[in-house]
Amino acid sequence: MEEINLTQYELKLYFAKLENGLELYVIPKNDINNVTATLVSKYGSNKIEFIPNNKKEYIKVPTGVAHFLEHKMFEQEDGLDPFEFFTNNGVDCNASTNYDVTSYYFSGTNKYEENLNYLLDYVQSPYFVKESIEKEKGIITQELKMYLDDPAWALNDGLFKNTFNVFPQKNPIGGSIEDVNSTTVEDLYNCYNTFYHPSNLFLVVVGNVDKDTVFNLVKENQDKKTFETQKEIVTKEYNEEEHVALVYEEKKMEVVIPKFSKNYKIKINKETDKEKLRKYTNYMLKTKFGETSLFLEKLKEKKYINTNIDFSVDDISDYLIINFEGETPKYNEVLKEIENELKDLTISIGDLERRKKMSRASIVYLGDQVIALGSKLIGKVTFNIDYKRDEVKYINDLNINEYKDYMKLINFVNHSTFIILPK
Amino acid sequence: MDYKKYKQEGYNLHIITTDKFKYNMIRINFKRKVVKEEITKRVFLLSLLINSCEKYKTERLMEIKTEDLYGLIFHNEQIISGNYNIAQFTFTYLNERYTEPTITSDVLDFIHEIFYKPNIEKGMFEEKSFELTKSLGIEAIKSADEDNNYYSLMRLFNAMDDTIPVSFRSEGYLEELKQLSREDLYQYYLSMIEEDILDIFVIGNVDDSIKSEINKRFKRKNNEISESHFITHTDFRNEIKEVKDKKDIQQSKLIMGIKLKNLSFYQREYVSVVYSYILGGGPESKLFKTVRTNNSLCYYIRSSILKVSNILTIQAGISAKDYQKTVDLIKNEIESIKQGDFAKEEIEKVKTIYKAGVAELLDSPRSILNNYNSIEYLKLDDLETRVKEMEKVTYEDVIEYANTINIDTIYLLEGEE
Repeated sequence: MEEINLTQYELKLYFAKLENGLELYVIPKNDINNVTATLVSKYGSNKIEFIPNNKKEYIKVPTGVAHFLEHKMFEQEDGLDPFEFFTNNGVDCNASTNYDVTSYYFSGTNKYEENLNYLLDYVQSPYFVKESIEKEKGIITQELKMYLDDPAWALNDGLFKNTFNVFPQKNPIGGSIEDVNSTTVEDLYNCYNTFYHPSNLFLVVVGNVDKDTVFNLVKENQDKKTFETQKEIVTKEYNEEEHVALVYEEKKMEVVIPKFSKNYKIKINKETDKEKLRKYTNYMLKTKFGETSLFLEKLKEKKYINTNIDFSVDDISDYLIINFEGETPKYNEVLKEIENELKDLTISIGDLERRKKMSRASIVYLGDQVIALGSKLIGKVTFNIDYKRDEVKYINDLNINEYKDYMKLINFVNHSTFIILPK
Repeated sequence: MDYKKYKQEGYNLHIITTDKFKYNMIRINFKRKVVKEEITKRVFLLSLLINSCEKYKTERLMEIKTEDLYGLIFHNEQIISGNYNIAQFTFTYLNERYTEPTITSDVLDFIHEIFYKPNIEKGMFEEKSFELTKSLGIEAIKSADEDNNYYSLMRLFNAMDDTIPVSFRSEGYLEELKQLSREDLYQYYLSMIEEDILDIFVIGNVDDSIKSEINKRFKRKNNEISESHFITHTDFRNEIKEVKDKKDIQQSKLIMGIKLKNLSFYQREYVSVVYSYILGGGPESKLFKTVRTNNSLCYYIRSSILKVSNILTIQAGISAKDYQKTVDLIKNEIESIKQGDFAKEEIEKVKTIYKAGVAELLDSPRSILNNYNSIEYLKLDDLETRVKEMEKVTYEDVIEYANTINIDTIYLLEGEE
């Protein structure tokens, strides 16, 4: 296995790629008891149009299939329920689906070798039959209804529906209730056979393990199995235009305080270092709108807002998405103030150094939270971000001139706003 | 790892020394008997103390100070723990190896500013920060019911018995908050600081000097002895009470409440865990299998024990039309455990999980701290004893326990179909 020194976390990372394409990442931390292993398919709810493995034509599957498939992995042909297996061993297990990946994990202090073997086995043995798929529809419908009642989900789903024109992130991760009800056995197999080949999976193991034991076990497990040859996965490319699908929408829900969420949609050139752009944008947002900002203090004094404004920056498809979110009856005033504040992105060297100091502090905290570190690694692998680099050096090298250059890449022309109002 | 408890002048000091972690935590708990009329001002006070002090007058200046302390994280919470109300403040900071040699003393200075030098003018809290915090409190009270689970739970507890503290709203009450004055709050502040039972917990890579560092800053008179936190129910219903409300939502919330009767320490600490696990503790439980897997009626269903309040709840998100069917299925499962209809292996599973949980508890400073906190307040067994006691639980114990279970109240928050 390749050894990578994660100096900043005082940990080591071990990497190997097996013959069948499965990638393995191990971060041992032997002064704790927990072991957490996550098997990830680089397949999330955004992939709904693709050419299935061994076929020639594009197909379009119902929205929410990735999530449906995740539910049905928990049914096995031999009748043994993965929940039961892991519970018997005294560890937690679960799975989750997001726009980009589906993850299956166990976490606990017992029998990690047996658990790891089983994690690989159950995710690599699909068993989809009509009757149980029909049964699952009622359960998933209840899950989706739970999200529909949640203002935070409604804000997110509503806003993304309006931010994108064609890119599939305009659909909720779980899909629509109608699409869930139209999902078939064939849909699940088409997705499984295309996106669950070992070459599209990676495994992250963190905690109280021995790296060689993990490697040998995974290798032996995979050597026993045969897989169809995998052609390169072809998924549909979308020509997402810069304008948003809908600039403004209001929705009434059972809430007391109105809630707003606004996306700015900014086209990024292919050559741009997306991660650095995100980092600097994040520093800009924290400085200008965060808890130490005069902006927030002023808004609170003006009684425009009581709680903080949440903000985030993400890159999705070829776009940088800057999001602002908050709750207040004075959302119009707040959105106006945000717009004004964004006219000047200048920050001082002192501001930048303060943000860098906070980044270094959070790196130290992360070194003690190996499960969170594992999640961070999953994000990096998913989006092809360099996971080997020295994070502290990366932070130290950030500087005000580069900040200014990156901020020139941002404009605030295209935006979409979603408001939730009391009934 | 080493734990020591010291009786200091007017407070208890708990020090857990370990060099396993990169960060330290300091927790300050002010505790007194819960009084419904005090909840509003107490939660307000907690929030005001961390929003403003004499030296750092605004939230922004407080936040800048935490960044100067290398990303100190502080968290405050009013916890209604059975008969007691705990005002809990937890401070997490990177230890000196990653910051500066004086970090602990700097953090303690900051803590001292917060508790002993609040933002006071002419014998009352300063107006501007008081009003800002009040607006925040009003918003928190108004929006609390947006959370349908919380709303349903509060409605259930109120229907069960509106005199038990778990039915009190920890975010406070609107009318009381509106009327609260700066003078009143200052008087209440003085009484909390001087008269509450105070416990200070420290965990991390600290040496003995921390004792005198803390002693220098916290000196007080109170030496009241804490009584039991546990609620004892006296009023048991012969017939199940049913309560229904409506809201314009897609998923209905079903909650059942059960008052636990005359449990022994062993039953409460150990048999309860096994029982709740078998009934509705996870994907392997009777409720999950029957209501979700076999009947597709819900996405989530779970039972939980509110130990200190001696209450067991069962919660599920369902369609309103399936109400009676779901209630009947749950009742059947409760009855079936009374008849002994569950596999003995299930008990062994719970023991395995419990033991694994105990081992995992040692992985983080927060869970270690919480554990000593609970041992102090709830007089729990130490970890080793817990594992041994759990091993003793038998099939008969579970059946005996199951036979004390009677549904008190069933609540439905009914959505539109």
